[in-house]
Amino acid sequence: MRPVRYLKVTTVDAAVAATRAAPDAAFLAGGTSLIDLMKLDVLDPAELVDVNALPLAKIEVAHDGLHVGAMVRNSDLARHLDVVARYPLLSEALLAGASPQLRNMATVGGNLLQRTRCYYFRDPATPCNKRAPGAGCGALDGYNRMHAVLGTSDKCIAANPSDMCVALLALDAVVHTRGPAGPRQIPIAEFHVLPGEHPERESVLAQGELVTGVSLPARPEFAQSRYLKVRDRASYAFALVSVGAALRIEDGVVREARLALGGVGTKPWRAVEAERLLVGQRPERAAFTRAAEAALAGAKPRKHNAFKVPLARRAIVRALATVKGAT
Amino acid sequence: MADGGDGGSAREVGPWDGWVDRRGNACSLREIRGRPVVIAVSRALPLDDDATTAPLRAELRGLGAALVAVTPRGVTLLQPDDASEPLRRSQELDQTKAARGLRVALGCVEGADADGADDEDWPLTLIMLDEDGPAWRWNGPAPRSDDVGTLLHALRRAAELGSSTAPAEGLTMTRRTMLAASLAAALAAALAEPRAAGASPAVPAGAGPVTLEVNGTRHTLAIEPRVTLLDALREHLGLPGTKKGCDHGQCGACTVLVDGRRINSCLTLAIMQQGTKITTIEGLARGAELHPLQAAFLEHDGFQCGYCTPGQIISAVGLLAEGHARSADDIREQMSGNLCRCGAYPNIVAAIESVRKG
Repeated sequence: MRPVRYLKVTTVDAAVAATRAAPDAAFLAGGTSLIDLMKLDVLDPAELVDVNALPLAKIEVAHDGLHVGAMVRNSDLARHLDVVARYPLLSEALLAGASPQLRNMATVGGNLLQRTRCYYFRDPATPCNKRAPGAGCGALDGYNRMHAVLGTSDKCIAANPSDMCVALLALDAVVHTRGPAGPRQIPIAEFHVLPGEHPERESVLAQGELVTGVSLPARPEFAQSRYLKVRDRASYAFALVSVGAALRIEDGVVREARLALGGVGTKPWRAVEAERLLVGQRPERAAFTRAAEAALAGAKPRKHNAFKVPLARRAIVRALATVKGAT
Repeated sequence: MADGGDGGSAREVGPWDGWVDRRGNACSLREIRGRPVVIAVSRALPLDDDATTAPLRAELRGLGAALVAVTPRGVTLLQPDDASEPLRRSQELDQTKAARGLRVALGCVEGADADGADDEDWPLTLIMLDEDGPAWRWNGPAPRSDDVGTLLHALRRAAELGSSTAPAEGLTMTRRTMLAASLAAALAAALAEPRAAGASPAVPAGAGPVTLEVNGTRHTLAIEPRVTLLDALREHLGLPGTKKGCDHGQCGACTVLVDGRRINSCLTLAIMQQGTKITTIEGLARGAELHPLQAAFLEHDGFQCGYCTPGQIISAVGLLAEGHARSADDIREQMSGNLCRCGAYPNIVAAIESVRKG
């Protein structure tokens, strides 16, 4: 790791002030991504602005939902009784991610910005448009088994690795931030951006803008939400495919559906068309299969990751079938 | 310089070397090079003791800046509270003259007035200098000598204004400021200095004191911010029980407890863990009496080569404290962050299960 300055801040204002004009500074929360990537020479900030002491580590329960501070650790959020009861999808997704040690470190704010596990991004000896814009992409025609099939561009096919974001996307979360221009709220579906021509840009955050928390709306159907993760080993592995699903079923008919995918998209992937197809249908295999077909309709597999398309379809059907009330 | 304000070298207005700290140790203003500096000019500034300056130093930490206070009595350097020596006071020698010179150089007063009898009227001016020169300037009435609140408010207000993108009231870049800017740039250059002397351009944080509480004992180490907790334990504290396996959070050999919670010590910096209580494998036994999990690993032969074992045992201590394991399957899942290349898993699970069941 290269030498780096270190600054610990105790107020959000100070965090913003310290980074607003310093593109070579980086917010340091749990450190599980940032320090890893600094050791690999993938990231090289001149200054680390440690935000762990910010007063953002609370989970606040309200009648209209839940507000989660950005510094809440993944393990604490996963085990919070209201999360387990009202948003089981979120608890399951968090517990499916990483290891207990890493979950004790990783924060909600940091996980929103978790970096890809693309081998080429993580290896400075290979070309990567995300790490070094314009350098080319080693994954397009390289070994791309773990890569995305949705939302790709000819510059980047790196998959977003977050489990938590898949859950937040299905649960209509809103990201709260504070930046040089003041506070703002960003629906999670608008938080991450597609790689397009600029894969180095992964979110809509501005320079110096800090995630301060995430809020979740209260909806009864979210208590019947599930997360299914398919991976190379039973635990402690990134998703090949993951599915977050929530259904509101009344009188044997789907009234509302939420379907989000992980492991297959360049950003956490909301399957909007599939959700539309589910509404008004009986919660049965035929409808689930049609939804799964629609969710993967735009898939663009490469040489080694074509298996993800049928795997994702089957995972969607399985996940929807596990939602209570479905058959 | 004291009579000019015409762009002379900053070295003339105040000696950057030859300062002493409270303990009488020689020090240099060059120590604040590479970080932003807030220059505060005022009739009097409440900087006399640690208690009154504590909130100021906390605010400076937030700003990431050191404070150079210029009063008729002299020049004082106040460091953020995470810096090694919080308060450094200059020698009395030449300080009044240096202060007046700085005041002129910074455009707070015309040169002709600087030596006049206006010492009591110095209003408060704050100037934030970063690598590009003055970032913002803030003016207000002078605080009383015991009034830390005014300066604190000014710092906060200035930081607020400085962080807005549009020009705001109180945040000015006047022609006089622009004139001062060249002088201030010289001052900043003097502070940022030895670029010309061939030192590294962006001065990284060097080795500084980091205090860690490990297994009940406090240690202060001179280490860089980039040193991980794992390396601090193994290389600097002589505690090699915590193992380095992958060094990337993928194997769990480096697991330690921080405030009772298990984490990967390879993915946290030692400097981040100041103020916490760290427990390593060396801290589990009570004298000759092994921790129940240590005894259980022996009893159940929960290892072969032993390299992953300290991490396995510490992780298991964390697991039992969490209290979410109800079965051997739960233990397998909740120990998934600890890999064992020898494949001693069945015996590891048996050892943990035996302690869980009591």
